[in-house]
Amino acid sequence: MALFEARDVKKLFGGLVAVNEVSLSVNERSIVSVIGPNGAGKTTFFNIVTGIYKPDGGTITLDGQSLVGLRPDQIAARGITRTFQNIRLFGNMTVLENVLVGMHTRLHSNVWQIVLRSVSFKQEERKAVDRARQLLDFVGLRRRADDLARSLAYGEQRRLEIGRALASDPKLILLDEPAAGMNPQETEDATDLIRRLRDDLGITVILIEHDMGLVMEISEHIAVLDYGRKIAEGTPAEIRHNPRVIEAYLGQGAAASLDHAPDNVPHPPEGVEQGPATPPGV
Amino acid sequence: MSTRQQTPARERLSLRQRIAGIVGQGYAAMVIVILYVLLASFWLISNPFSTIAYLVFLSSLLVIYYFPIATWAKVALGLLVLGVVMPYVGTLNQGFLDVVTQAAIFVALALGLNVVVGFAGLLDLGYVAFFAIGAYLWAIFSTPQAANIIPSLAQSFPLAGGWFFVFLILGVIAAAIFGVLLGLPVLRLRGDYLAIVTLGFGEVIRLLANNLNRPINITGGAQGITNIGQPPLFFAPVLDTLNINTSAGATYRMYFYVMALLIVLITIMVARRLNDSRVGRAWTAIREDETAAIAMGVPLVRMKLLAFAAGATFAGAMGVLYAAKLRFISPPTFDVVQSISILAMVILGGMGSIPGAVLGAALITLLNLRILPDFANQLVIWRRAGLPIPEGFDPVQYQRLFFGLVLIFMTIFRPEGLLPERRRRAELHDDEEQGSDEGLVQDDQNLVHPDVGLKS
Repeated sequence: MALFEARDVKKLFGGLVAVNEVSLSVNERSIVSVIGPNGAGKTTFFNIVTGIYKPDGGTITLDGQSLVGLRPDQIAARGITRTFQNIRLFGNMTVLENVLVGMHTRLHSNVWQIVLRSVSFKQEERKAVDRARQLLDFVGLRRRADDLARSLAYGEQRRLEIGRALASDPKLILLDEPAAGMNPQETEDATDLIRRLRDDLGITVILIEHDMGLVMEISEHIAVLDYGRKIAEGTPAEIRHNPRVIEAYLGQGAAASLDHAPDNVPHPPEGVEQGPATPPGV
Repeated sequence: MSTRQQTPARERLSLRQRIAGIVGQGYAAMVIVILYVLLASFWLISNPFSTIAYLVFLSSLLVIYYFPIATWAKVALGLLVLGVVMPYVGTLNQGFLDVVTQAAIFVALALGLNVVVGFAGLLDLGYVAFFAIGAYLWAIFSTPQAANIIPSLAQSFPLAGGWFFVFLILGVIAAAIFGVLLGLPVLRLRGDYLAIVTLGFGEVIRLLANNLNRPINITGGAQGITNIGQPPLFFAPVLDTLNINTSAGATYRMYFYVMALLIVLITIMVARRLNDSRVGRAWTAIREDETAAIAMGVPLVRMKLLAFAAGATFAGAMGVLYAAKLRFISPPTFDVVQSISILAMVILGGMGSIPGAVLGAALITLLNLRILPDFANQLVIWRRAGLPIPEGFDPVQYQRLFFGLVLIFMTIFRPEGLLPERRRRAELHDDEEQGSDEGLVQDDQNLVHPDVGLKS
């Protein structure tokens, strides 16, 4: 059974149909991309899934349980987190504190335990800090733990957003343009990091991205949105050659150049390394 | 594009660091602090009516706070100043002790408002209402007023003084409940709208106090409530055996001084611990970016209500103490101007900063109660000596003007407050430290975005 299932999700903004009966089914431990032109409704779809917008129709389930009508914090507690297209870190908090905020739903000390500094509070806090440092290690920001988030370089901020999202122990993570504004080297690092989310942590990933190199390289499944509708769905190879996608989004030239890109096996068998080996020690 | 290695933001040296740079960390600092405390103490004890000696003496607390000495030494010296010397000075000049008690009351209020405004970023212009709730709670039940509300138990009112301690707790609970009641309707409001509703709430409570004398006389109306009960002097036998003979008035002064300080200590501890926990982090996150906070799992409603409730509790407890200390309360004490002054204390000290709230409240109380009146007296003396000072010029009348000027100059020249919280300082000095870097990031985005999707 699919881990995540959206069926006929609809969202209206006044007369505009921002998301029109979009369905998406995502298997556990897979990487799925949502692509499409600007204004196609991709980010709106993310906002519906994370509870920031209420859908005007359709069902959304995680592990078979409905998410419609839950508050964003409840959805986060169920195991869905996200990053934002325009980075939304808590800029005046430290890098470590950002990750600790992401851990909010996993901490349970109540006000009395906090005010009285109970043993369980202290233990929980110590564990939380340890875990946060591990996560910073994972995204390569351990050394910057005590710096203010806004003093980070752009690529580091993107990675911190992922680290913060990981703090809630998600089953599913939604990445909204994780490689936007990155140079080729940074994009490669980001690709690597996304793959490690799945391979090392077992997290399912849905991502919105305009960098087709990244999308084609990493995704097992791609959904294409245009004017709020899903116009195509399939493996990277299928999407590349889909005439509707080429017309609406990719463009003739780009689709041709993507054909020369190293192809990816749609469903890589476990344990088979692809491309450059991931650095050891994670 | 190279990896954007950043030079660490130019740290502005804090006053504390600058002092440490001059005197060093070792014995020198300790010697200076101890000398300062001792000299200031002796000066005040030998001149117990000199306002200047008094101010210098109180400034020794700042010296203790700022100089680089061990924490245990700070605690010990703080105890010496507030726990030994100040009470002794109080026996020589009760007025000075009263000012510190009054300052302590406002410190607790500023700390409570700081939780709401500084930590959670919710502008509350009706904060004094919670102070009123605590004060009226004890005032009503420690006087025959309560008999009007519960006629069936009329003979059990007024309650005995011992109930005061129970009511300290009840004041906390009542204020927390009202905090939640205020919080519920305003949760969806931000910024200006929130401020207006809280302003209205403050006025509602004051007007209720002013008008709830009919049909049943609950609050005593505009006349207020007099002869409010005081806690029992349970330690009187101890004083007797120690052969200390003081008047009841003097004993109560000392008593309330100690209790006010204890409540302040508790509020500081509670505020610090809350701030340094998942709750405080959630508050900061909400202040920074509400949408990101909820997406990360922070329950917005619960955290905002908690901020309102926690902030209100401090005022509730101090309200009970205030009513018992003054033995008389009336509605004008709890008007909007009072809420604004508490907010001014928080802003002066530095929003979100606990030491800031303490300093801001202490400074403004001192200014109101000691510095301006004394300056007025000094002017009278000078006029009599022949200096050309116009008749009828009284600085006390210009209290609010002075207040306003302080706030205007603060917001222009030091918006982060006197003892800023680390984050606020960073936030407000953004341009100087980071402007160029942020511009760079934006340029990068502009560069990459147009050809996005074409890269392979």
